[in-house]
Amino acid sequence: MELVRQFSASSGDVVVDIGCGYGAIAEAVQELGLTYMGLDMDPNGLENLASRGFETELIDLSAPHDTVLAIEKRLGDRPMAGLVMIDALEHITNGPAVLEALSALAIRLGGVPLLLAVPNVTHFDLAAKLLLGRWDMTPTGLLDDTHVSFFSSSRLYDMTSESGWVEIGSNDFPLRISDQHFPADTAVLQDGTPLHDLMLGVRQQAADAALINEFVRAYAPLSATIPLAPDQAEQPRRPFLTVLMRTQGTRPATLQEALLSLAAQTIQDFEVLLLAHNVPRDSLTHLRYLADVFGTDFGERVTVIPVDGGGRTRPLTVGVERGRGQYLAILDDDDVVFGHWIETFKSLAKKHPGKVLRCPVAEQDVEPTTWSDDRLGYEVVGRPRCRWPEPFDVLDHLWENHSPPCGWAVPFSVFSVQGLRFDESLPVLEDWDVLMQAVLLCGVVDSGQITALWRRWRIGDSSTSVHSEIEWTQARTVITAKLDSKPLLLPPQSMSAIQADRTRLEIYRNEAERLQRELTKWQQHAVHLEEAVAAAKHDVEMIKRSSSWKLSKPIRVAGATARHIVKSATGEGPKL
Amino acid sequence: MAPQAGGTSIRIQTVLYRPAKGDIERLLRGLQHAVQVLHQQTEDISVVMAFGDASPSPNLSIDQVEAYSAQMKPLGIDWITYDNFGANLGSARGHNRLLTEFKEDFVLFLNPDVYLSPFALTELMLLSADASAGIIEARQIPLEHPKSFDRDSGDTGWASTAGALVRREVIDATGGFDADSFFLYCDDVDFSWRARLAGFRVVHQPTAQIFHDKRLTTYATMHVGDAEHYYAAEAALLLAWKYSRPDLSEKWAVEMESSAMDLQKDAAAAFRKRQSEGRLPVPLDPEGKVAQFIGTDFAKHRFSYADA
Repeated sequence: MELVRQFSASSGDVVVDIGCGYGAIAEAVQELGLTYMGLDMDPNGLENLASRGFETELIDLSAPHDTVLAIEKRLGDRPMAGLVMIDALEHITNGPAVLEALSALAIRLGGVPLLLAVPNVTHFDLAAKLLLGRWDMTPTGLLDDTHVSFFSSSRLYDMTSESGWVEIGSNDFPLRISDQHFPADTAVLQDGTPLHDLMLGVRQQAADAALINEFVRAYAPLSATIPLAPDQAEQPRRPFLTVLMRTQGTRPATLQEALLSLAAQTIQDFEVLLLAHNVPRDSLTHLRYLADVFGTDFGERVTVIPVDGGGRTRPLTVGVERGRGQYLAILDDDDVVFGHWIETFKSLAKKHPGKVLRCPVAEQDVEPTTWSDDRLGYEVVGRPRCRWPEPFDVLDHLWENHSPPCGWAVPFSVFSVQGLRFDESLPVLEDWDVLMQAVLLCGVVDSGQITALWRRWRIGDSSTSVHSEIEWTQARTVITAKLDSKPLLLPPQSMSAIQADRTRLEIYRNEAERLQRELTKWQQHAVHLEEAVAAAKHDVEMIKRSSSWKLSKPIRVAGATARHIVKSATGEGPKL
Repeated sequence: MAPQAGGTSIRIQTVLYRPAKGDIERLLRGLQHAVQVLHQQTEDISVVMAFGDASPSPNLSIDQVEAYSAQMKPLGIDWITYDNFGANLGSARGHNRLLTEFKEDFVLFLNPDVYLSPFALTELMLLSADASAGIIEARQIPLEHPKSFDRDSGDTGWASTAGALVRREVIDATGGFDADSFFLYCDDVDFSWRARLAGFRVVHQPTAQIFHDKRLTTYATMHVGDAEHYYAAEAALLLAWKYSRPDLSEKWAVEMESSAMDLQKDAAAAFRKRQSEGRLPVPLDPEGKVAQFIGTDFAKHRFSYADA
């Protein structure tokens, strides 16, 4: 009713309720000062409405044009406030035709709105029960056994858009526990169980409306249809890989080399999104030139995208929205890849579709320099090193990141279907965050071949030098909290790996305790020795002062020595 | 075919030996953009390309060569030739064979597994204005050669002919590569040192990048095949001998003879055989003016790929 109130026009205008049943909203419409008209194919409901004093019309939605004619005839010269279809669309198989006819009518009547309400078949309860192999039709509710058409948010969008309607408002009805919430004691349905929380997290990240029971939307008629949603429209061939390359335009030498290493790939099945972050507009032309100079074939596959504002993660967010590849990888403008970078990823993807693809990366030290002609450049000052372990270990990666971004690619569906996004609140470690979430969902496969060089700037600006230690610590805390907030899907063999870690931990702990005990003994012994030294010093002092002490000294020394021997023999001192 | 009268002419030479699939196309792809940029930056310049094939069977047909020629002509490469050697001559003899047709002002030696930056040729030609720069070496990525070079002048001990521009006068003065001594390795070191003995400078141009499709092992060391092990060892012995360091060649030969690697033993044996047959090269540079032997390197290095 909130939407009816919001979109209704003048007092007295007619609200036409199509598929009205017993006219549940009739009195409420009347209270708004509007005229209610109920239309249905069920004469019982109409009789009931008529007995309550409301206007009715018997219709058959299988003949949409006849329905529209009946409405117009019944309406006469009266102005219409709006059309309403509550829990009707899911009962007919010709929804698009009905909506199209109503759109034409609405336009003829000056653009009156339509209010739709349909049950959400993507409610989490239904998704959870499908996992259990259950599809429980019921007399009423989400799976009313008279439903013949089922709606997700995107299907509703597609159907209305193609039928001449554009959404102008929504007031969806949320219901955490739907009528399908049974058997309620099942783990996947029970709030707080790991299985429920995991699956709900997956569902909520992938798309909205996880806990919406009914879509309640308002539409305005359009004379033209709206283009289909991107995932429904016919797409040109998708490249294998979308390469996100962030640049601030401040490292022209390494940027050229990064592009060169891409142009030289043995397989050219990729696109590059060159994400120009906070780059002045007049410098964008030069970036464009740096791509085009590699020729038309390469240049056409490079899109220069200006990105303004935000932190270093912002360009990645933009890149995810624009990418078209089957997989997504990050190659920053100071990285360089070997000739088989794409080839290796593609080969892995063919053998292990759907997994995160990972290659070890070598690290190499570089320094900025200025060449003799005053051009900015860089100099390699160290050999490539294997700093990061291979193969990929999830538990190690939960501790810290061992995979620089140029060493992995994730299925694009992680973003486009499962709803993962780079976290712009993170000033650093944004790659670790996405990598771990993707790996925990998709698993990972290793190539074992080094395919990229990650440059470490020994001097000059880098993420290490630009961002403070506090920012790194805070980012780590945020990522940890995110992973802590939900159950984790660990890969097979994790049990053994955790046990092995715990075993090692126990060994180290026992050893630490043994060493602590040893240390305590030595400390006690040191105290004894200090006491003995002090006593001896005292003796010496006394001897110096007293002739009688001098005479008795041999006896005292013998006594002290004997005491130490006894202590050692009885274990009071440490054994060597 | 004679170079254009009045302008500058460049000949590009590549010796093929069992190139990887797609190498030739990639090489030409990179080359065409580099030549286009060069034409945009420099007037009156002509470029030609010569392939020599030392593979067991030809890698290009006549039709393919003609198709490449036709494709490249409008892009600035006047013609492409292809000489099927019919035998594995090695890189030094292969280049020398191609150099018999050398009539241009410069020759650019390129390995088949490289891809030129669009700016590489232009950057190399920038330094050619100085006539003392006899050999101008490109910068290789992703694995840069660790040789040191003077950051101001670019001077370096020797140039890798995986990607190096050489002026005609150097070829005239040296006669090209010493193919009798060097089959696969150190031919460029020797060539560079003889150029320097002839009074030319060898310079490194860090802004002229070529992508050289080298790869790393999982230990971040360079991939080295059996043939590379053998010919590198043999070449090192010959190079030390040729540059008046018989002490070194003897020391290394003894070490190789006691090596656990058969390939090293074989290399030492080949050296001994040459020695006994009197086929070792005539020693040069007795005063050590150009030759440098630093450990097993032939120049001072900034870092090493070997001990990563």
